[in-house]
Amino acid sequence: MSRFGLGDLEHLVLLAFVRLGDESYGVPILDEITTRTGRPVSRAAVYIALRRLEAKGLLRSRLGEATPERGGRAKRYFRITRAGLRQLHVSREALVKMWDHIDARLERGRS
Amino acid sequence: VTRPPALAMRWLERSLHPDERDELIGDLQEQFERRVALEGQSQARRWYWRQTFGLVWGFTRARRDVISTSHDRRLGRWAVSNVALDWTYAWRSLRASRSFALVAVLTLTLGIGLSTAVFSLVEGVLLAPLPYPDPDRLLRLAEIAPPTNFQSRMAAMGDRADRSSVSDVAIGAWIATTRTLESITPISTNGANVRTPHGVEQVDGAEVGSAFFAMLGVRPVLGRLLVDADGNGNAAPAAVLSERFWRASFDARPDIVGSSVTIEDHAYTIVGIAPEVTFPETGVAVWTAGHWQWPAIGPRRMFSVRLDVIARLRRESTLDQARAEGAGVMKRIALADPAFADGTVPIATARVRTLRDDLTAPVHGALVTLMVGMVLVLAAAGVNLASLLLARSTARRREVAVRLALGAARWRLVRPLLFEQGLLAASGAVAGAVVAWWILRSLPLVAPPDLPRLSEIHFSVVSLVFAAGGSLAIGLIPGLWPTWHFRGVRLRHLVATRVGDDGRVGSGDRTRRTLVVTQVALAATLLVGAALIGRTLVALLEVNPGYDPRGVLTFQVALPDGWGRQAGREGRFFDGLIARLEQNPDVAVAGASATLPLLQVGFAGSFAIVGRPKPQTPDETPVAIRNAITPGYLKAVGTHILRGRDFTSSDSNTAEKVAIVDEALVQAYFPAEDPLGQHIGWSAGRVFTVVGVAESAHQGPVSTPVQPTLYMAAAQLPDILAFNAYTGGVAVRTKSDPINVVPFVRTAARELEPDAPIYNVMRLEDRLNRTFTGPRFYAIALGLFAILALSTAILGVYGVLAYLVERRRVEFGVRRALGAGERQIGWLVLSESLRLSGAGLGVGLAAAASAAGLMRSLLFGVRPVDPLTFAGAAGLILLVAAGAAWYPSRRALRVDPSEALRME
Repeated sequence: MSRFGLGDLEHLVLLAFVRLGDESYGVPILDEITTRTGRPVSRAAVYIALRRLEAKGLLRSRLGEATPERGGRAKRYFRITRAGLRQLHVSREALVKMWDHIDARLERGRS
Repeated sequence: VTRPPALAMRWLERSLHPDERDELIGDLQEQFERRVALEGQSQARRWYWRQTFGLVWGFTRARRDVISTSHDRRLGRWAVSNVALDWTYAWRSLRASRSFALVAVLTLTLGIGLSTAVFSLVEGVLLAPLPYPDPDRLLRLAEIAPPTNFQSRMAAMGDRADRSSVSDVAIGAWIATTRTLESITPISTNGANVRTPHGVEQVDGAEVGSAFFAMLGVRPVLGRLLVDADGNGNAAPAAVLSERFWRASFDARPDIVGSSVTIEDHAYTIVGIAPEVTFPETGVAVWTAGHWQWPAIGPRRMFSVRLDVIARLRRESTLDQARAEGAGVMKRIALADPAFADGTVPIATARVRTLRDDLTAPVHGALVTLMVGMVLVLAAAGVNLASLLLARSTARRREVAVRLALGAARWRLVRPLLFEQGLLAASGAVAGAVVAWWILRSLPLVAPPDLPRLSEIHFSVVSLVFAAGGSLAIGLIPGLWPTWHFRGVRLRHLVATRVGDDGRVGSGDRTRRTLVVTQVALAATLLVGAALIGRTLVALLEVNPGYDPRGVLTFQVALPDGWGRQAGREGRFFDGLIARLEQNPDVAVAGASATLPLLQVGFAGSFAIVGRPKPQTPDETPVAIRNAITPGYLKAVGTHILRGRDFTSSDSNTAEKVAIVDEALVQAYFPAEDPLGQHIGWSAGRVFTVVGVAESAHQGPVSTPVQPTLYMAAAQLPDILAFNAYTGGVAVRTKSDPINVVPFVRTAARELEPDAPIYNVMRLEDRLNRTFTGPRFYAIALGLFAILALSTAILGVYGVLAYLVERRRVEFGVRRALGAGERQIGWLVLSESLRLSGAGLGVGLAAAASAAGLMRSLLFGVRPVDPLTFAGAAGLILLVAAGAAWYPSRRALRVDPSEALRME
């Protein structure tokens, strides 16, 4: 794991949590990423990212109640931890620093 | 009602870990219902399937990555339970114990590789049917003369090493009376000078019965093959060329069919091109139809033509009927001979066997020996694997006890072991296949020259599967047994930290000992086999061949047939050639001879000793190989004159006729007299005075006995006896490597006589060495087997002793504390080693003694049950066992008494 610590998808997932606020579970996260980025993401990749983030201590989870519209199956709710928020800041800072003064040149490169 | 596809859901349920099943399937369901509302049921169901695939695939892959790269064990919880994962675990666990894996895979690789190669060989040579239609009805006929018979004595000296020919009388009688054989065809092979667009070439030719090709079911590549009409005495002479010869020497020209070719000064019409026929030998380039006259049955003659004969059995007849018929033919021939009436002439026997059995008979014993060796090696590999696995499962005892106590299913405990062994077997099989492939590929280089059907040996996948399965099965059962049958789950197993301190000799212990005893037994058996072959090789190398092959070049000359009609033509040619050769400063001496050592061409003939009564029966007639030589020949090959003198240039046609006899002849016919000055001969005008005695030289391989030989000066013999009947050979003794003079020899011969090509140019040493290839091959094969088995036995003995020392640490400590010296402790370990290997030795040597008879045909100069060899093998095994005990006994000595007591 790098010092900046977040893979692309992990970054997206954490941001989705911040956007959705407080507690969330798989479906809203998937929806948020898909609608925001406008691109489909791999379901398995998202669930694996959730596990990995939890393993890193950036997310915490609990098993929710079973609901009928889910065929009587329980949800797993995740919540971003303090460490998760801190990690987001670290990553953002690193990215911003790296992006500093780049935009103009990138635009030129594009045209 | 909107429901997700039941099958997809069930798949998810099965493949997802229980911890995440609810969450993932629930989430999917939630979204599925939304989709149904949005885009309809069928679209949504399709979406559900896609998601299912994505999940299962994604998780499987992720799990694999996580397991091999992640440091975070917690992630393992999401493992999807599937087969790929089991393989991953197996791989990991083997990587964790590398030395075990290495030894196991190495054992399997060598075991599987060697045995696959051997089995492929045996399958190709012994088991596979001949490449002809209906091959089991192809027979080989042979007339086996009784051993005392004059004919068989002559044959034993003569050109055919294999005496499976039939006399012309018997062929005629057989053809005339058979009811069980569809067709019978004689075959006579010999060299033939063929005029090709590139000059005269000496090739192998075969004169065959006209039914030959039809009998083998061979189809022409071009034109036609021989038919019945060609066998007719007044048919136009027809020749069939082999495809290879046609391509190499006639540039594959299709218009060759119908044109004329000159073979041995006779014109033949080329009627067709035949594909490769591997019988009677590979490499026959020209087939012609033989026109034979079969003499009527009558009193036996001194000489008769003998030919190889093959036949095809009628569909409605059996082999036994054909045999009975053959015996009948022999009896009729014998009854027609007046000599038979008084019962003094033993009757010949007919041997009728399938062509395949006949081809493989000479190597049958060798291949069966190899096969037995292979099974032993496979067993050794399996047993080694078993003991390795046993050691591993013993090390897991504690873990198994805990897991069983906590309620694990036996199947769950055994399952990873199964995958582990599957992985071992797969690696062993793959590497073994490579080894086998490599061995088979290099086989043509090392195979004994008498191995038939070499071209039909192919890599056998069946045998690979068989070998891998066999060694695995032997390893699997003892390897899994302890885990599967684990009993005695006691608390003490859970708290015990030391190996085996439950203080009793468990069943694992007994199994372990049995395995080691088996290993030693296998090693002992193979060691005896290898030692016997090794001693055979040494014995063969120690035989004095009767000539000195170092620095000698030999070659043959294909003399044109027409020379026989020109008096002195051949003699002039050889004199000229030898004179030219001796001008080269590298050539010490050169000589020509009617036959060369190891070419198995010799002319055996009877002779009389002047002054002795005429023998009453043919069987009492003196017989010897007659060889006509030029004065330099004996010096060139290095055969010493023991008494008297060698031939000189003054032994000319006009001088007194002289002969040199060899020691074998002296022993046979002049045991008490001085042979020098005796007169021997076979007809008026052919009487020779013996002027010298030469050492006996083996004309064939050194394993065959020397035959009485009579040398005569070529200059004193009419050409017909000197060289014409036989393709002459020339021996050249050189001062450096004989190969250096080859270009010179070729040029000299071509310049002297373009119509007499030289061929078979070879160092005499190489020719001799080639006869050792067979024994060397079997010695190497069995030696490898023995080394493999011996090393597994060493490992086995070592393993058991190390285990024993570990288990008896406390005991050793106590003994030390009570005053036992180093020697006593060392002896405890050593004696255990000797006990185990002694038991194995007993079994192994007994097995070797009973199986040694198999090897009889392979042995020379050593008896199958040779006390010295057996003692040597036993000594080596005991020595090795003692060596294996050394390190464990050091460890036993290092046990600190006070520490051991504290442990107690």
